[in-house]
Amino acid sequence: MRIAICIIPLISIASDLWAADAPHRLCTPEHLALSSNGGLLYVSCSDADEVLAIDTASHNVRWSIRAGRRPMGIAVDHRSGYIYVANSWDDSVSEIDPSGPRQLRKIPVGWEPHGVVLDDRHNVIYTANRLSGTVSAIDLKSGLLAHELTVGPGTSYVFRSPGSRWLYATKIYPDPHEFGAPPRNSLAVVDTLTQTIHHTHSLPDSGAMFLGSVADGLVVAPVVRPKNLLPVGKADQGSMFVNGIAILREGTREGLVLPLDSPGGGTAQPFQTVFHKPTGRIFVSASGTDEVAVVDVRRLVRETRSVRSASLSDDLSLANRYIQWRIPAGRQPRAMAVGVKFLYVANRLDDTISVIDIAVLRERAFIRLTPERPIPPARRGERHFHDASFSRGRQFSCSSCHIDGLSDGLTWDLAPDGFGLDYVATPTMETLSGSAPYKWNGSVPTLEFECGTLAEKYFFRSEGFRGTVLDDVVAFLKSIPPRPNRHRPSDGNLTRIQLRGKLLFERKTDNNGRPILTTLQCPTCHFGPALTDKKRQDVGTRSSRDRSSFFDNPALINLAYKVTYLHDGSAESLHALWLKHNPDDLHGVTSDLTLPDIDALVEYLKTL
Amino acid sequence: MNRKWNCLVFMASLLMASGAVSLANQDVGFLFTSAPRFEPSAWSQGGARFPRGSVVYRAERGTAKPLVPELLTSADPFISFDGRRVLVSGRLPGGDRDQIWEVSLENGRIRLVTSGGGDCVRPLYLPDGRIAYTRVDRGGTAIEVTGEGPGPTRITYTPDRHITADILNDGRILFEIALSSGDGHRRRVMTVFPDGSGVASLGGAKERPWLEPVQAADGSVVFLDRKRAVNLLDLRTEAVRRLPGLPGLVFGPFASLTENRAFVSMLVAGRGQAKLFYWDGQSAEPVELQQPTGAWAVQPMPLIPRLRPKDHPSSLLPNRKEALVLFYPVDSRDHRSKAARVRAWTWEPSSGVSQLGVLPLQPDGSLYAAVDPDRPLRFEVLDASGRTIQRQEHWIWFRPGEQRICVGCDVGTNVAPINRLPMALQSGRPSRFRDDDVPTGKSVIPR
Repeated sequence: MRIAICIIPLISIASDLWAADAPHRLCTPEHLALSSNGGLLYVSCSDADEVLAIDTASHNVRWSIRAGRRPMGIAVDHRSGYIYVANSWDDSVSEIDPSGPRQLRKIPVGWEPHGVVLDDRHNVIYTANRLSGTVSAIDLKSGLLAHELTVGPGTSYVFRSPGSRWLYATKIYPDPHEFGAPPRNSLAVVDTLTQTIHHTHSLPDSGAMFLGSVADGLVVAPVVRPKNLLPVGKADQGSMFVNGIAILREGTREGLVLPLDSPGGGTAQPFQTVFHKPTGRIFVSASGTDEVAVVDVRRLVRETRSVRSASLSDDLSLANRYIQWRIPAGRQPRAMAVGVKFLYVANRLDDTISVIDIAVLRERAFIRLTPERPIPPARRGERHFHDASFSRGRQFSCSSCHIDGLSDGLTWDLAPDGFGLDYVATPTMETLSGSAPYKWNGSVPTLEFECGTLAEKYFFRSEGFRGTVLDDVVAFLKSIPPRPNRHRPSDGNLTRIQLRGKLLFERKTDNNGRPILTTLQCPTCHFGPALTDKKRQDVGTRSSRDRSSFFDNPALINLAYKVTYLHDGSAESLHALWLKHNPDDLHGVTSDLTLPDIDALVEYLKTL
Repeated sequence: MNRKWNCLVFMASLLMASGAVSLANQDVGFLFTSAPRFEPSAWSQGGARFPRGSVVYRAERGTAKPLVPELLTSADPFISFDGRRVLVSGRLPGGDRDQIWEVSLENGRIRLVTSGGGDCVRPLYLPDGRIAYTRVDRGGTAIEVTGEGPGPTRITYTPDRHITADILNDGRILFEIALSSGDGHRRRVMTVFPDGSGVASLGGAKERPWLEPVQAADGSVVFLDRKRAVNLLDLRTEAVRRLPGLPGLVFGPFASLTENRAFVSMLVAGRGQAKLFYWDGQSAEPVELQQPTGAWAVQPMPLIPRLRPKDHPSSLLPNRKEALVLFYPVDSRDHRSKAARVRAWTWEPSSGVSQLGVLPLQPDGSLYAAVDPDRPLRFEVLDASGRTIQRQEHWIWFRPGEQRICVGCDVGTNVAPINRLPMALQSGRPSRFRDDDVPTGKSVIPR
């Protein structure tokens, strides 16, 4: 039986927040952590910019405290009881004394920290920083950066086994790779003794990796295996994604990926694994299929020792051998925390926590983090956006490619008419508003047409978003705010090199004093709030796989955060745009620019 | 079809069927088909399932009466998703063909859905309100969809006999085929989208003969094995388990009410005809319902709304006349060193089986081809000497504008394709099957 326990806010901040006439405020629980004695469950709420502490006995909120902007990962120092919260939009970690509660310090880290973990032996906190692609190692005593370790674009999660020398960092984007090559991702193994990257463990045919865990020398992390090099003409049988878990032996370079999907149904968007040692189980949250898969570690290990072949990772018949059970959860279950008797699951888009009795593998109670009220359209749309039940075989949702509303860093054969044509890089969703028309060729006038008719025909292959559901999805997409641009100086004054780049962007004559045709001047196509004229243009970027030379002039907002550039993702960086992909000066005049000029232009583009 | 049917005599033998099955403290009425004789597999050899006619009854609140008194014969009841209308196949007195009729459960008003030659049987509602059914005539069988445009749209193109079975929750039409290469006893369960695209074997059903499939309330597919025992196929895992506690030969379709409750038609020892039972998985024995003596009682259909399946958005490209097919065998690693070509066969009523042509496979086993739509096709993989390595068991077809990825003929669905750029796509242009350059090695010509 599902028992609803509404939180009675005990402190005035929360009371104000939830007052009847207050605007609807969502919590959106992102990460969970248990206090040392298991008596409190800490919850980071990204939409409320706060951290809650929930009494695990009464399921009431003990306290809440404001953190930085968009708090994500939480780590607990079991010696002091302090908690550390990664503020993804503040580029900081809040140190919070729960006895107050009060925030003691805000420690600066890399750009957009998501994961945070504590090495209490060496008094270091590590954060995984998505935008800077690094792991920050912060000396806890001084609060200063000790080391900034480069892992790669999209570095988002860190985890380790308590007491272990090794720490693991995962990325949501694959390693940079040539167009047409199968993507691979790598897991960085950080030596906490030296605070250096000891080695990286490469996983072939792998896309996004998420938050893993370690126990008994086994490293287990969720991973998706995209099939982006095959035409998107078939949605079932793992033809677009195989959702799986990477399994590595700690201290070795051995490892493989095993699927979580079954032949007729996916375990979409696995987000986190947690071990429960007493029962020998791994719990895997499947945020696209709203469930928690229960994996028997003994059987899993048996599979890893069986005859290995190239097809093991794609053999969908395997999952039933080690998945013992699937526990239904709320909407978009992602973060988890495990105690002795209970598993806590944060249902991100329900604003609830499922309390699962590990002995019977059933939800015993659920904790509401916000009062029951009508759900705003954008939140309803966000639920649909992450819901894999719209796709045939429940193997993927919109967010399988648009991870967290962003991109997967991959190029796909969408097969709108014929196979092997018009390969397209996954665009980010954070700059959609005001940038119509859509698609790489600007052929789609509205988001309604793209997310409704086209998505169900060519992606889901099943009844997709229609009617009010479609309206909600579009409302969500239009509500996605662009992330703060870290390249833009906070005082609004561009640096010298950025100003130099701005002049180059706006120039009307080249370095030799010759006038540049109006059609080749950057602001001719890139102007207005979204920095696009919303037209199509031939800028000489057609490849042999494209049916047309004309492509949509893209918006340039947060250009720096894109994983790849050009319609097909063939440019790996902004520099490559000008140095490799504009030989005939059709995409603006750049052949006269010196390398320092290109540097300056790129620095300016990053501020947009 | 020759039917000797004395409706009055049979009506007189009908006792009141009880509608006293209680579900969630409410009596659940049901429909069933009553017939003096029932040949469930006769369709697979061109025969009639109800050779002496049949009547669909509505059993409710302790009484049972013909659902459509206007019809001389009726069968195959299928309730609408809102529980307000029923489709049946049947004919008026004096009629010589079965057609599909729609009956209002509220006022009994009937509407003729189909017309034309042949018998129309086994109707199904589609999620968008259209109706699919099987048309049986001298030329064979075809599944048609009506309700859009001036006439029905044919969606199956194969010389095999087939019959509609159910609509799955994901929008696929479930149907059975009796392979034309055999004597009608080799049967398979297939699925197809309502636009006729995507025809495929039901996952896991490739090797085994599964009879009279239908989707159960819990989403699994219920089917009968050769011994007429009930089995459940979990569509997610493709695991099959036999349902215990049914002590007789079961005749489909199995009509589930909830996960553990169903109406079932069963022939128990010492009885001459199958009777209707209410089965509750919690109790030891199925409970026999009051029903006619001397007649078969089959095709139970609860009078409750059912889940509306998902609609299938057709992705047929309107401007393409041919179909595009990418062969990208997922499990051909063993074959890859040997597989060299693919041969295509077709079939026409006038000339029978003929070879359509042969195309070479790329070194990675891929092949990209444009094929003519709406005709039976069968593929086989050949080695360099022309010998058949792998052969498709049954005919398939593609619709105009269909873009299909075939991951191997009759292979299991458990292996996802490997993520590599298929070599066959590098040119961007599809090939066409040609009947020159035919290898001379030994090949099995499909019948």
